Amino acid sequence: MSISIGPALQPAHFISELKNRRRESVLGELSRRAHAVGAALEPELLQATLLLRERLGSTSAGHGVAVPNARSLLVLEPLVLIGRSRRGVAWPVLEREPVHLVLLVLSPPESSAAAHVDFVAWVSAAARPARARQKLLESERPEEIAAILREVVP
Amino acid sequence: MSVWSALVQLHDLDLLLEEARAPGPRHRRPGPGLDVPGLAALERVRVQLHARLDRRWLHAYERARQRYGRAVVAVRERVCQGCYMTLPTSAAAGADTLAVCESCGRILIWR
Repeated sequence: MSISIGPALQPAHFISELKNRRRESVLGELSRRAHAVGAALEPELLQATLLLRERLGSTSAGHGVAVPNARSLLVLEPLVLIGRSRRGVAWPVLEREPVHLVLLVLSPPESSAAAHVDFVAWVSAAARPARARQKLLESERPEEIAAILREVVP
Repeated sequence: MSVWSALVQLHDLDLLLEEARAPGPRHRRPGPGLDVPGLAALERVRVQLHARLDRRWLHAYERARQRYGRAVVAVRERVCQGCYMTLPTSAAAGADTLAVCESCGRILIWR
């Protein structure tokens, strides 16, 4: 399954200020948004699936970025949702650094494990360079954010 | 938790375990949420989900998983997305509905 996220990023895929400040609640907020945009079913169950992923290992990527992700029967199409928090989200990791940028990556179950892992890696890579990360944190326009993602996502 | 929810979560957990166990370059550079030390915790969750399913669904799930890898698939336009056979018109349909494909034995969900 080919994945192309940059051009498909819509304003509804972008939450400029997350309402919640705890990891579990933020995953619920993003799951509800994924449901609202028609990309996922059963937001509460999707939140539970995302929390299972967190039990396997924190999805914090460092530098105030987290990339929670799931490949699930509840996901209807590949999706990236971007949530920002200027106040910071408590995201349990060793370094106890608050997360300011949450990039939710969802794949349908028809995607292979390798394709999903690559998808997550691509999105993580988008936020790795300090300059791109700063743009993702400061930009108010979804099209600018899509352009940043397109630099690394084919 | 309903049988539908337990089966969906068990399916998603098995996909996650598949990603974590698969050999390959990512074990040398684990991506976010793919740290191997958490495997034992997820194995315990899997046992708990098993306990929530009755013998019929558990048997159907494990038999299809061993045979095909993925045990639960979606139905689209009355076609099983595992074997692509058209389901009989008598097949149950609708959200929260579960059935077993008469052709391949996978568990079917409508979504």
